Amino acid sequence: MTEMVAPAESGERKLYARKTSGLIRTIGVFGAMVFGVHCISLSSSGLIPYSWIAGVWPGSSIIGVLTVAAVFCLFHAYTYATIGATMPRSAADYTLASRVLSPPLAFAASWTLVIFSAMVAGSLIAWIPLVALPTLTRSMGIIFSNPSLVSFADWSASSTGIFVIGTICAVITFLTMILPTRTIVRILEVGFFLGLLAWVILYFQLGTAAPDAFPAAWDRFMGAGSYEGRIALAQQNGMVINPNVAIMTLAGLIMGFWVFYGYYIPTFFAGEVKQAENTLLTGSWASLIVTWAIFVLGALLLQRLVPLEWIAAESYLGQTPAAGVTAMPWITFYAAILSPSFPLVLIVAIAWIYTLINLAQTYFFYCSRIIFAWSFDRLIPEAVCWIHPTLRSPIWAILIIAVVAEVGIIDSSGLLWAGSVMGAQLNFVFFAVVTMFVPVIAMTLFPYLKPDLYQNASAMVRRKLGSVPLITVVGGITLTYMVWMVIASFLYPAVGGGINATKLAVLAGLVVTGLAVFYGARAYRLSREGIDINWTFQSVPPV
Amino acid sequence: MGMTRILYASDFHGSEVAFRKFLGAALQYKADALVVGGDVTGKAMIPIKHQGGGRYDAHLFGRRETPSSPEELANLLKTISNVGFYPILLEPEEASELEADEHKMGQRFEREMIERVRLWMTLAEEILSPKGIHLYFMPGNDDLYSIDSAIEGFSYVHNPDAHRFALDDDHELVGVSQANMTPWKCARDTEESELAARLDQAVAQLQAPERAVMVIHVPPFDSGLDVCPELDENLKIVHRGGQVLMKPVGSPAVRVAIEKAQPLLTLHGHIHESPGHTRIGRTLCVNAGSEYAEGILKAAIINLERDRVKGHVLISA
Repeated sequence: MTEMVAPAESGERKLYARKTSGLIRTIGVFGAMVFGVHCISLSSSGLIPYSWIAGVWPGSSIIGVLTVAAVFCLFHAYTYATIGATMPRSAADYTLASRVLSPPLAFAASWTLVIFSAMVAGSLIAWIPLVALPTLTRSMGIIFSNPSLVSFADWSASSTGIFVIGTICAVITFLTMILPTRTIVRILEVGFFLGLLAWVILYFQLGTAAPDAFPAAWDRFMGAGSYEGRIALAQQNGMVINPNVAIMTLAGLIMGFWVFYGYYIPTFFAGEVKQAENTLLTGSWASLIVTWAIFVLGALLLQRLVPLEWIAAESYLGQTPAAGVTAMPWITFYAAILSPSFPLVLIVAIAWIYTLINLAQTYFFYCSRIIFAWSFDRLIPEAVCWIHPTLRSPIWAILIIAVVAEVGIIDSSGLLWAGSVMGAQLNFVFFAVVTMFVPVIAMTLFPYLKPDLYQNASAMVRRKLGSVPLITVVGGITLTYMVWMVIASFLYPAVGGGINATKLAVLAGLVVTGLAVFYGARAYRLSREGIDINWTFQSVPPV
Repeated sequence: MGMTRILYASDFHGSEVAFRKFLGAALQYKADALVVGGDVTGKAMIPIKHQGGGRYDAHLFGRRETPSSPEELANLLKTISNVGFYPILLEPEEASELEADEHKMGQRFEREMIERVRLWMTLAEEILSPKGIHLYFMPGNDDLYSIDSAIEGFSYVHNPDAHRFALDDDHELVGVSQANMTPWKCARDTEESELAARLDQAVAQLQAPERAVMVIHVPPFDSGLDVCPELDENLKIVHRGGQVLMKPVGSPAVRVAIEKAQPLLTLHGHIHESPGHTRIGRTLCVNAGSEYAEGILKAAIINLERDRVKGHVLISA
């Protein structure tokens, strides 16, 4: 009833529409973009280019790396937007792969994605006490000469601090996610503008400083002569400046998901997007381009004040504890020392923490949508998706995600076991890419495996490059990129965090439990209800 | 008796391929009875204007189509029918005449709708009768009352709107095609009080409500099967922070009727984006949803035993 068509046009009339139907349902491109930006994160990803990339590939242009990374993500974004356009419903990736490739494989991949994503949500929450909070409080402690804040930063980054603060943040995330949708979306909306405000403040602080102001500002807070000795100190500890374009390109190819992961998230709730073929693609590309532009502008303004080699050195020292210095390679700190205004620093701090919570919320959100899709296919008990009558939210589904996220927090804290069994934060690129193979292969081969559905798909899905379906070409590029990301995870610890036998066993365990759940659910429904779950994945030819 | 398998779908909105898949699914999943829950007619006609010399010109989803051979024209006709629209071949002067006369346009629309329903029913009778499968094909609020005549006169096709039928030895079926008022004031939109009266009349026909199946086009209010985007005063969707704001728009009268009568199963449509199932008391309520424009069949397979719904699953094919 609520579907509709474009209204009849006056003059050259292209269609004769009924008067009883008059609505075009659209979720705005802006809306999809907001969600994508939140999942990329203006705060956590906002630190990476200057504090991580610069030091891992000293001498490589930050802007160049960001650009190469974004370009390859555009292909991946196109593939996922097409997945959403092909199956415009919750968990479009799982839905497509289960209908096109293999139901058990699709479910196992989706199962792995959800559990892993919940773990990553936990590790991102853990990142608040581990990095974000110490960065902000240490900055404030140094700038405003408050030793208590510096001590708090030390405690926050300890195992106990990560566990305590992380758990508090997880509880906050859970409590906000069980609120009515209206409230949740307002929280996200506020976060988007708060995040933008924080960057405007950073731009103001970096952009209004005199070009030669930085060394003095740095020395004022970090000790006389500190600025001057930074590059030499980093080089003494092994840093080699290599402004090679090939290295820069390699870095871009590796860092794409590190910086921009999240732009394609609206595909997971494509069922709530009308005209998905336009909205998903434009929304995900817009979120990529917007965040790229925000980070590049930050790099431009920073490099106006301080050379790239110096940024690389500080970043390198931040990754080299053996250097024995307190490194502060954070753009928020750089901006704050130039304009040490307490209200401005406080606003940035609040925005950073708030948007990090938003980031975890987006993970909770899409995981709950995927769980709903499983419930739809009767693969999990109905009770999991029970909707609270007053709050109108799936409390149990969100609670399950929160519990898994708490495991991610504990895993990241090292409180109960040494090291990180899953390494969810450092290995998220590897895990995420592995779970994407099934849907991306399904999409790439879709025109050939399901020609009937392909012919009925929207024009965007049916685009061709010569005689070859465009999605097969773009999907092929995406798959190549993903294969490279897996290889890179083993070759470069900067992206993989060190994939070892334990982490591979965790991955295998997730896939196997996913398969077990699928076959268990199928056997149960068949024997108890006379329903074969596989029916839901089958094609039905028209008579 | 044993088990009865129902195949249920709704909101085809004229989609030829969705209806044909529905019939195909009946055979594939060995259904004993088929139920359609309303909104079967399309929303628009696509004029295909003859340009002379066997060349035509039309627009579909904003894209210009210019078939110039019988094969290309046939493909375009099929594509338009599959997405639920009615292709009409017109000479330029015919098109101008139709566009200038709203009454004529309405008549042509009605004729197209009735004709397609009649063709569908004929096809269903042909496919289903050898298998002994009955189709209960009910219109919905978006369907003109005049299409009811196209569902009459068949042995294996029945219109359950306000009429009771025996599904098998244990279960009976009755339907209500009307819906509560929508912003578009469709053909069978009605006030809640009128809807309540029609529901009462339907329930009154049932001999054993506890084992009955009711096909009620509009879902019960606030059931999770009736959630759709909230609209502003200009019928535009309200969205915030990347999210469409959703709200329940089902019928309170339907909810009260289900709570009172407690049938075994109720089947709903109307809100395409809200497929799923829920329970109101002992009653299982199902909305199969609809993605007719994508050529996707959304349906529910439901196994009935004498006193219970043994199992069900939603499919999309």
